[in-house]
Amino acid sequence: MAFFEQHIHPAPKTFLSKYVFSFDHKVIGKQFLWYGIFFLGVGGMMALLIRWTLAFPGEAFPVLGPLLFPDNGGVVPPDTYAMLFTMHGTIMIFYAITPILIGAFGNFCIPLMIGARDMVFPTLNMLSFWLAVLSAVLLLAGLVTPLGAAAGGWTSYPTLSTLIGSPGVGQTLWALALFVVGISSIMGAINYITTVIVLRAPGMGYFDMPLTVWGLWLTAILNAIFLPVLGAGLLLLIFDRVFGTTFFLAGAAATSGTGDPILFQHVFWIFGHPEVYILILPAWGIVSDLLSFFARKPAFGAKSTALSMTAITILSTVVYGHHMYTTSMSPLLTQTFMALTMTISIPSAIFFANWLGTIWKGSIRFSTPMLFSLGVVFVFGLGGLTGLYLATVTVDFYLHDTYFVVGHFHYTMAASVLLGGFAGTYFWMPKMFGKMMNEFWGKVHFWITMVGLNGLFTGMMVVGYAGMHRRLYNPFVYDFLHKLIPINMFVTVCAIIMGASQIIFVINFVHAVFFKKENATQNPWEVGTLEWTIPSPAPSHNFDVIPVVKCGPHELGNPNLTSGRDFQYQTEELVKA
Amino acid sequence: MSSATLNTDLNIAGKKVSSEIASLVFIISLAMLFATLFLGFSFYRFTATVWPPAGFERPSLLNPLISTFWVLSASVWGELFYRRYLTKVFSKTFYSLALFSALAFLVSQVFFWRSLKGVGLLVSAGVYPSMLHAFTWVHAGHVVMAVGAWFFPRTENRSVINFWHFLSLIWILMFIILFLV
Repeated sequence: MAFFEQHIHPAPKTFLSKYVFSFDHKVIGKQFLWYGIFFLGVGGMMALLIRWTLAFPGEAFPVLGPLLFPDNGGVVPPDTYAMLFTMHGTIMIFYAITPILIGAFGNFCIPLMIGARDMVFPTLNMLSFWLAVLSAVLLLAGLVTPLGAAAGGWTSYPTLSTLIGSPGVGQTLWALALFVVGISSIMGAINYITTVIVLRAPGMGYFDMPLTVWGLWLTAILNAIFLPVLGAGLLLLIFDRVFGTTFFLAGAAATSGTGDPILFQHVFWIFGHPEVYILILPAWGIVSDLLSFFARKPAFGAKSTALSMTAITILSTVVYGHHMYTTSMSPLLTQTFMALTMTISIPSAIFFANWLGTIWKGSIRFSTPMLFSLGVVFVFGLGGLTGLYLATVTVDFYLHDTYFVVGHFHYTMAASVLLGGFAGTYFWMPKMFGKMMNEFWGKVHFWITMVGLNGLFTGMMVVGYAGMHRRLYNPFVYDFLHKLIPINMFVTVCAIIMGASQIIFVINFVHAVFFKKENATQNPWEVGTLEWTIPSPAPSHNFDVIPVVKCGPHELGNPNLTSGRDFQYQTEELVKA
Repeated sequence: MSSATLNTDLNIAGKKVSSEIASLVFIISLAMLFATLFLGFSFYRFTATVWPPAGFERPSLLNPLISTFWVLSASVWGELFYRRYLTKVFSKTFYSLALFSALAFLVSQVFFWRSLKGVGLLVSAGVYPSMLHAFTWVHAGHVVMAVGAWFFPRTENRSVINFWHFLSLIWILMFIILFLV
């Protein structure tokens, strides 16, 4: 139940107040979307440079290579390679996926889906976006420093990230940038958590919220709790690098008085494992809703899906040790972490079964958002199952730091989240911009992406299982890996296919936003959540009158529907059977 | 009571609840940050057979005790100010005493850092002095934020004074951990 009703503020009139320093959650959501798409391009280009180096070691990267690396004949140099995989991981996680899934959809969807006029703290919301911009400037500034950007991996373990491993200022800027983006995310989290608690429309209980909001809300809780953990680690790293403290310098504390690099790993993964769920929970929420909407059926076990997501959120906080099996952890601890990690399979299996139950015997409409949602079901299945290998201590000892790990986390964190993000973008496009994206090209985008993506990430797991380590500039200096050159070429071709298919998305997106004349209708997908009860695009104050919620978000195909349609708005009452 | 008055009351109550929830989440976030620092301390402290590590002496308790006095004083005067302020009475005396105490705490921290240097506990000398410096820097940074917030007291909620109390609590934990354990 809402605690209070926000006033209708006058619509902003100047360019600056409307598009730049806007307090409107929808504009801020769109700002985050553009920001995320830009960095998706930057991070994606870095990925292609990495893949090219692995498939064709010693060969110049076509077209861009001679421009970027003229001193090396267009070939990616080894130190740049380390910088590329570091920045690729950092950019994709913190500057592409986070802004799109959490910043864009969180800002855009939460108030609209719970029947609020805006976030509860609009100024904090705006500051959150501009801090993210400042952070991006800090991160990219590293690229133009004398020794280049950070090169210690996205995990930046000491000693790679201390002055011994990375003497340049780029690594310091990396740590500072992540600290600032962490503050930005915490600001967002405070806003999301409070908004959901106090601004839900009258009649909307927690289980009447769409699962998208559930996912975003749980993500915000994890962000608020665990980003400060990373923040503390980064602060200590910055102190080590700038002020000469010795937290992460190797040595026994009692005898030499210096610190221990392993502490950073603990701190990093206490944050890092929940971070996986921070990224994926919004996608799970979006997919849980979209499967129901496009199968024209109520979400199967919606409450248990919400509770499973909650259980995973809680369990995600106690499993971080599985990232550190190879750090001489005691067998008791490794077995404990293994058991806890395996426990996550239970709620995961519940909501995965619920997804299948939702589409079972549904009247499925294979629109573009639905295709991408089904894509998430497929790739998350694969990513989740391969996680069981890595959670098992004995198997992890063999697979640790191989490309199998890279393939696994790309299936979960990249593929699932990216496809979920695309599903959301195609789905909410009419409400965001008042235009529909082209369905035909959306489907082409989906199928080419799926082909490229699966070839890419499955190939990574295959070469990893064959023993190829990650982060090697040229793995083929080892004889036993020579036979993996062809499959690495295949993986790279798949990466190029996947990358090229995103051009279709960008053209479709830009065309819809700027050039398409035909306006979208109020409810083109025929679903009943609150954002579809208002015109497209959503007006600046969202709702003229705060809606009163009378039923759940997934009333589709219900025999008690009264509207003459196969769906019912959340503001309409169901007839008692 | 008219519906307009009812709505206004509802809005004030709603904003109060919103601020309280937000400040609670903010304090939980900060608590996690300091908890991580304490985890770091435990990591070093309980894997070491000798503490402080060989070659280091514990710093004198005088400066930390003075800091403890000032931080508690700031909390007490701040609390007294807020109790009145919530009833719309702005007590200049309590407000100034609280502000003075907080600033005195920061000054005492500067003296503390200078005293560390005087006994050879340089920031780069090892993990023990690193902790003494870094933990107190992070805490002092937050006290600066809290002092900034003090210039914008809110009549509808206790967010600012709760932040002060939280920092006092953290200082006491820090005092025990860094100087006594």
